[in-house]
Amino acid sequence: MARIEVEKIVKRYSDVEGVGGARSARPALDTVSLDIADGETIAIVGSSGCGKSTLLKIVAGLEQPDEGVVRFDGEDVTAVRPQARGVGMVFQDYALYPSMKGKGNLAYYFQVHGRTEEEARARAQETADRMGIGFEQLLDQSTDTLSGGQQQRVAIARCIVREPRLFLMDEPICNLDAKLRESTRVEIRKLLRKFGISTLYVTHDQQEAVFMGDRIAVMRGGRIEQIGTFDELYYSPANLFVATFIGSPPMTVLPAIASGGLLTVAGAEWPAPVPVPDGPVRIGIRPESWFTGRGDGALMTVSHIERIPTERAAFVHGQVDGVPVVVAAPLNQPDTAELRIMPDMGRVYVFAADGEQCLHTPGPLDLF
Amino acid sequence: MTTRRKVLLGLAGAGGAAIAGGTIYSSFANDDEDSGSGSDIVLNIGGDWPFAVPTAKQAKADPNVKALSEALGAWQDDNPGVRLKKITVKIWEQKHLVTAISGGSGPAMFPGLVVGNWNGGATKVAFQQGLAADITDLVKKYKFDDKIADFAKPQWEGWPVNGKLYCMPDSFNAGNGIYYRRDLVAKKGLKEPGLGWTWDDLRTLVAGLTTDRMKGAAFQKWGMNWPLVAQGWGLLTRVPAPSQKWHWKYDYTTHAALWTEFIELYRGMIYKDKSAFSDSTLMDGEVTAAFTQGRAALFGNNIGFFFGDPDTDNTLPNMAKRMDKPIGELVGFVPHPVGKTGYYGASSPFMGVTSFSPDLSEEALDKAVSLQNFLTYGKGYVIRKQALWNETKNLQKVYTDPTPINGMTQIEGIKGDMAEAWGPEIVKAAEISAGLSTLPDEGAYIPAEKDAGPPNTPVEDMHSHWAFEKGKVDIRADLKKLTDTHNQQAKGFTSSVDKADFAAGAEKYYAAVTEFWQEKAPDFVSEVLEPWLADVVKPSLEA
Amino acid sequence: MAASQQHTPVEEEAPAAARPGERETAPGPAGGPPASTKPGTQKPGRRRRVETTLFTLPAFLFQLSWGWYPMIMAFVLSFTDAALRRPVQFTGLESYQRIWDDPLVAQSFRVTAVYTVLSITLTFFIPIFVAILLMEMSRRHIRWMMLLWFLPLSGVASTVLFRYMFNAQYGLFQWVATKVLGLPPQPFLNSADQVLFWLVVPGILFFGPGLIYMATLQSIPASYFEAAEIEGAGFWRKMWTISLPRLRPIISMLLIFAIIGSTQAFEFPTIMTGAEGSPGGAARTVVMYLFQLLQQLRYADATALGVYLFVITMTLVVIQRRFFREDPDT
Repeated sequence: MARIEVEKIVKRYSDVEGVGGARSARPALDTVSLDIADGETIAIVGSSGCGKSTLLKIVAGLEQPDEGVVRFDGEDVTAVRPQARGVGMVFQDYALYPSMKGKGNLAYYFQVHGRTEEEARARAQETADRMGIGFEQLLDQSTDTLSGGQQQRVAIARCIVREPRLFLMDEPICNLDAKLRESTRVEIRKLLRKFGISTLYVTHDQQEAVFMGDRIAVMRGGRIEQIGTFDELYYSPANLFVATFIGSPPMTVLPAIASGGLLTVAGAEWPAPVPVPDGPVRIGIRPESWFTGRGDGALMTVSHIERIPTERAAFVHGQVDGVPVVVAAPLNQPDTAELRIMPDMGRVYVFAADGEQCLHTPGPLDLF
Repeated sequence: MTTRRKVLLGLAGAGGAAIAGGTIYSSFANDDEDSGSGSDIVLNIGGDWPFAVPTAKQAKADPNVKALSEALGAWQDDNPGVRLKKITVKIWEQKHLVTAISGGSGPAMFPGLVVGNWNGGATKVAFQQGLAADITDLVKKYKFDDKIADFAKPQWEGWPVNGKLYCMPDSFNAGNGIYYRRDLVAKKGLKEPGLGWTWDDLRTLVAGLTTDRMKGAAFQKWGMNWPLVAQGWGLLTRVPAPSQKWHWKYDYTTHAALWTEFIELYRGMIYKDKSAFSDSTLMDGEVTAAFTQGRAALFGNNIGFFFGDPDTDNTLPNMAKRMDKPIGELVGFVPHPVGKTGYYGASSPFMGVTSFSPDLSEEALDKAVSLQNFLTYGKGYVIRKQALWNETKNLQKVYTDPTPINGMTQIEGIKGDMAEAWGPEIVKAAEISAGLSTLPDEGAYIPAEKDAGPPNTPVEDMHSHWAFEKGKVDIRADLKKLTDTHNQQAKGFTSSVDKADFAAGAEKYYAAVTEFWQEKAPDFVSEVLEPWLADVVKPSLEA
Repeated sequence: MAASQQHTPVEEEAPAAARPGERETAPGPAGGPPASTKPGTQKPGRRRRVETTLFTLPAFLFQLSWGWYPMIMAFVLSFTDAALRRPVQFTGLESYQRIWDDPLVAQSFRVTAVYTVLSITLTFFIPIFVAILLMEMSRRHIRWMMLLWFLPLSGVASTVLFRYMFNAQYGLFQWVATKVLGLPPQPFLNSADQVLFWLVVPGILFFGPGLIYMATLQSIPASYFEAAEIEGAGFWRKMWTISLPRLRPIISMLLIFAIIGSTQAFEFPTIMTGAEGSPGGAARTVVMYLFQLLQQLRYADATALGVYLFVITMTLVVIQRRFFREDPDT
């Protein structure tokens, strides 16, 4: 268990190794700082190429940062080799050692470090018990014959068996099919809770990030845009990017003109949730914050309705003044070509007309 | 996949013959070709040998081809109803030629030695296997025995195979000798070599010619063979043994002293004197190039190398032209040095022969022999030489063979003869070399085998071992090993010749050998040959 | 090899095409499965079988007439005197006996064995390690090395090149030996002890399978090495537990090629050593000797030797297959 501090990490790929072979102008990681509390799981989410995997490798010690410091429990480990950091890493492609059985994979660390076979066996047994029912059978099989989910369980066990201070997971379940992904996700979460090991969990899937992370870090272009719990990110995004990145379907952003406490959007006039200086702004509305069928609403041309019976809900897709809009509606929402919609003004986000600055967020939902 | 390759060779029916459909040379086709006369004889001429079947277009453009056309036309006037068809076959490659003949699609005539890969014994085996037509009667009909030049006659006596002839003589090579730079020999005041010189003389000469930039001699990969043959290798290393399954046994140890001395002499030149160089990859072309480029002052080869094209790189005439000196003054040629007791044999003149397809009808065979006779001994030869003269007016391009088998060193209509073309020295050298050609041929005395018997490979191996192994070599142990290897190989073979016939033939052969050397090298007979015949051969023959 | 490639499709297709047919003749115990037994559904299967046959027929006939027929005939021929233009006579094992007793055959097998071992060690195994080492280099170096290995040198061109390089008088190697390294003139191909080694050397650079290894290594995801690195594995352990196991299938395949290739070595030694395998036959491989037998018109003996070589090559390949199948995990 450990507290991990990542401080002002900068990483540049100066060689031709950069994407496309060209010398990349911007660093892969640009002054990234991050703290992981003891036993906490932080999910790093971002689109591909945002630097999330690089950050993971720097924490693991597989890559050296150009600037900045990595501390484990206050100790500077920036120059420490990966094997000495006591981290365990799980990869997207599992990276189980070929031509070894599950057992061999678990014993690898002990062989490398010249420990006795008894110790390796005892620890493997111990780990198998902790991994739960049916795991022990996997150990006697060749890894090539295991399913993706089974391989990932072995890969996780391979990390646990040597009791790492920190868990690093690099999109561990994205190679699994949807159903397996769901169950494995649950299982990993359970294991993380059980072991209470500090974890960095990298994913490009925000739902997964929400599910796995105690806190979520949203990354873009080598920077961390915001770190926080899901509620913080969802209701109090730091900027327009985070606001639109988190949430599915994403928030609708409409241009508006503010004047005298009123917002004019696509011909409709709505009261501003907070005082806004006169002039152009943009407002963000999440799908669930729309009221439908109101006479003073904006006119939405409906393109299609996505009905999700399992959720007893539907999403109406369409456009308002050429801007795509998604509106949450009841499952039995009738098929119409047009729809009058109006936001719940208390849940509207306000952004500057240009740039990503956030002028107003509704804050956490007051449920009670 | 070697097995496959091999089978294609052996299987007549597999259709592996490198034959493509040919085009009939229509300008020589009979006038009534279209009438479909069934009596037409078609002779397949393959691989542009002995000539490229000319087309009318080529004949117009090239005076040489025109001359050939004329010659062929003259022959066809006398032989109506014969057509020549050009076919594709790699006539100089044993594998391809044998495949074609076996498959019944071979050319009407071909260089006989190719089927035996230039080995006389193997060629005779191939003849007996039926790869060439029996032309015994035709040889009589066309009187080749009378037509060939005197110097070629002894060689010709060795060609009958058990009384039958499968080939006709078509050329003669005056044999091997040593080329040397006369100008350098004179400049350094060295003694010019002459007939009867010894290997010690050669060693001295080579050392004297060596400078920082030029080695005294360059030898082909088989150069080691020459000094050994001069000592009687070949003659003295095989013992007739009619009591054995295979009628020869091999003995390289009895005369170990003879061999050792000359192996050491040869190695001495290369490794001690550093006056000569050789290499396992050096062939005729490489050593000739070394000589013409001034990297070696002496090399061995057959006399034909004198008569190269003066306009082609790395030929001796070209070298003379470049250095602006008469070739006879620049380059000398002398038969190989003799062995310790006067024996010689490395000069080995050889005869080129033409064989004919075994599939030709009696009539077609006659026509084929007639055509080759016409081109070699008859008017065809003269017409072509005259045309060459008219075109080039260069005697060196006309007289390209110092020892023409038909004896024509002067041709009517051409101003000048062989001697004028090349200078008296070279013609003399060729005559001397050709005059050496009378060593008795064992083929003339002992009936031919149907199998070639154990190959010469172990001998070649030892030669290359002695020639190229730089460190110390144990020659006596090698000779012992060679004896064992060769005899072990021989065990696998069975002679097809009757024991008594063989013994009788062998006795006659050795009598002829003794008689021959009695005259040429009496020391050899008294010191080497007679004791050996008495102590080794006689007991073996009587066993 | 071409045979197996051509016929893989047949082997794969045949069972697939046969399956519907089986169903037709043996209806299921529960009264027959419903839809699948309808004639309509079988049609594609049948047609497929006909098409398969039609498509493979030319290849099959070609293989039969040019591949198998000559091979079988060669085998038959080795028991005869293989006379060319007269009826062949059955000679039993005479050729086999003669070849067996020939000391030069034994020698040529020894030469081939040494050549094979040298060739496989130097041009087969060394490139594996070199390729693994190279993968540790920067990407730029990797690219250059791959280019070098991929140089499209024709066999003949490089053979001519190497003949020049080995020339004892003015060759490049001699120059390096005497002028650069200051050694006395080296014999290279003129020494019985060295000739095989020098014959194999060019293969390291130009004919080696290095490029294939590098391509395979490049296809191994970096995560495998990273996982091992995190567990503290060094270079050798990574090579042993990741690179080599991942290369294993390709090694297995290439090793068969290498065995077949070097037991049948012919062209390069022939050209480089002047056909005789000099000096002293130290470089005369089995196939070179076989070729000499052909030149002596000893077809039956040559075929028998070919059969011996085939048996030995086949044995080696079978042993190789065994060895590579001894995999604890499969």
